[in-house]
Amino acid sequence: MIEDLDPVIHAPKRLAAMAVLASATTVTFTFLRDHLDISDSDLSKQMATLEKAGYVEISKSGRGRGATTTFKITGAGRKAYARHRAALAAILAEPGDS
Amino acid sequence: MESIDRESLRQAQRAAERAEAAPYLDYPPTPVWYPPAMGAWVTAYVLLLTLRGDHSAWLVAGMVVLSGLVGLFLGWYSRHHGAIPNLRHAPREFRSAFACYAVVVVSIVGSIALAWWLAGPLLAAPVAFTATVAGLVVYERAFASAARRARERLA
Repeated sequence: MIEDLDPVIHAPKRLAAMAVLASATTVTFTFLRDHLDISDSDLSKQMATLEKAGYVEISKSGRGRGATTTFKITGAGRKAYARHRAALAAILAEPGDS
Repeated sequence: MESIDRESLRQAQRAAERAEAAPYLDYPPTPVWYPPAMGAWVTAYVLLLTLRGDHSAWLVAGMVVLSGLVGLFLGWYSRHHGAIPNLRHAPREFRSAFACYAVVVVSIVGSIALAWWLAGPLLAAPVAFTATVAGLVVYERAFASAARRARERLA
């Protein structure tokens, strides 16, 4: 079951980002940055990793101070996240030694 | 991945649960102008319906304008809120709020229809405004209460 955990999603910041995206139609850069409590550059780096994996779409609109970056989960991302969450739940449902 | 301990997985699951709820729980206060603005929108819609028949061109133009206003509002709201919740994944505390929303919508439409049937559009228009404002205030409170309960559960 541990092998079902997705290494791209399992990193805490990316897991939180995917969780927010999984329950929203679109999410702005600002919302995600504030929720994850990380810097702009860190968020950009995490989201670039998720985009490279095909899990999120990034779109930008406007210019200058009014520019907005938004994120949206892809179909592949939704499936990967659901699989990861199911693997987490299955592992934790197993009797442990702690 | 093989060496991950159960406690870190438990924390990851907990963090994921909180993050999934964030689009519902982390939202800016609703502007005070929102209920009256929506009341005015519904009232305008009701008044437009009086133009059906001989003034159908004006009716269509009015509908286009009102639809455009909704589009502008949704665009602004999505930036203002930051994350538009996907209603299929709402925390369980929101079931009562969504039921409240359904009751509010039925009440608004029913009261407007009844007022129109009894006295025509002159009564239906103020009823539309009053019912919409009151209904939205009730729904906003139900939503805020659900959000508070969900925050407490996930704290």
